[in-house]
Amino acid sequence: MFQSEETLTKLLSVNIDCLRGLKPQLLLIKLFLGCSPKLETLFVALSSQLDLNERFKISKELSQFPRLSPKASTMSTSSDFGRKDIISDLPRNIIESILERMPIRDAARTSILSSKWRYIWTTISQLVLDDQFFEETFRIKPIVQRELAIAVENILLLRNGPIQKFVLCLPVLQFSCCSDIDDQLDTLPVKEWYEGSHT
Amino acid sequence: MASSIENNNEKLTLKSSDGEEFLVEKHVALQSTLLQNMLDSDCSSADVIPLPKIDARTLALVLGYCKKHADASSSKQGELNSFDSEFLKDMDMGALFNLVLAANFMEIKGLLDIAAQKIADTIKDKPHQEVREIFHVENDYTPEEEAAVREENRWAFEGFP
Repeated sequence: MFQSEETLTKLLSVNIDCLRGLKPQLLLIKLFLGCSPKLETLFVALSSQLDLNERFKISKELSQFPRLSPKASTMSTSSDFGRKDIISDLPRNIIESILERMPIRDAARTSILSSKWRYIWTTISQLVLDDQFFEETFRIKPIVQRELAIAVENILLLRNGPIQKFVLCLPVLQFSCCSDIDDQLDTLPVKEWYEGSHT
Repeated sequence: MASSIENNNEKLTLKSSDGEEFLVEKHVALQSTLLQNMLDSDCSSADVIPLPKIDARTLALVLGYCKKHADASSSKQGELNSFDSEFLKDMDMGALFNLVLAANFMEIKGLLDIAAQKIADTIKDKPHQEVREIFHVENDYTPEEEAAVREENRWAFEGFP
């Protein structure tokens, strides 16, 4: 039906609410998946009026649509969860394990989700402040040494709980910026040092 | 019972929260540290092991994962990796959360790792407003509090709305 040559070149993510599985709705999703070379995720909230079999059928149908983007995946939520907060109530060790699997900058940004999340990121046991961290954190603007030092200081200052793994590479920092960081490092309950190359 | 673990043909029965029973080969069940500990102690294989927190649909998925990993030899790591990424691809969010809870309860580290990674990938790089929407997290901050949190971690929010 969509014989279009057009591609949705900038589309990264799509959220669709209350999907009932009507033919035009599914065709639209097919278009998104088939014409978006950069699409990463397509979220679908299924209508609560659907029963288990219908939901399963729709999920299956969605998974079989051809995708232009190799990274594209679909994810549907169903009425089992409705509008319930499905992530904040996970056991603490699972939340920490999730936060440890993303860059620390993204983990720190979860502090703003709700008051429950404000300090969870400060207890993760893997602290990796390596070249990639500095590159990703300051990719928006050129690295300013002072700000870099403040960011590291901020992370260490808010820290709470034992550390299993700690990586710190600060090759671009001059010693004058690091004295505050040194003070913080002295107070850290680090079990195992992997690297500490900020001289 | 001491030598039972070496005997691959032995089976045990697991019962889901909704009452469905699953007959599982012992070497598959051993992917779960919880079940391993139960078998190491006093549980007889004739017993039905109830898993009151895990529904049948989730348990079927978990056991599919365990079977694949138990049957693959270590030389097939590449094949297992592609199985793992296919396993969670296009999974319903509700199913993914049930799975991560089951993997945590049954102590299946590999499954917990890949499920947590999948959720982490869903969160990262997204503006927090979008993350709130996807997971239905209710924002209970006042505008002043929200500004204070943002200020507290200013370095992390650089470039985000």
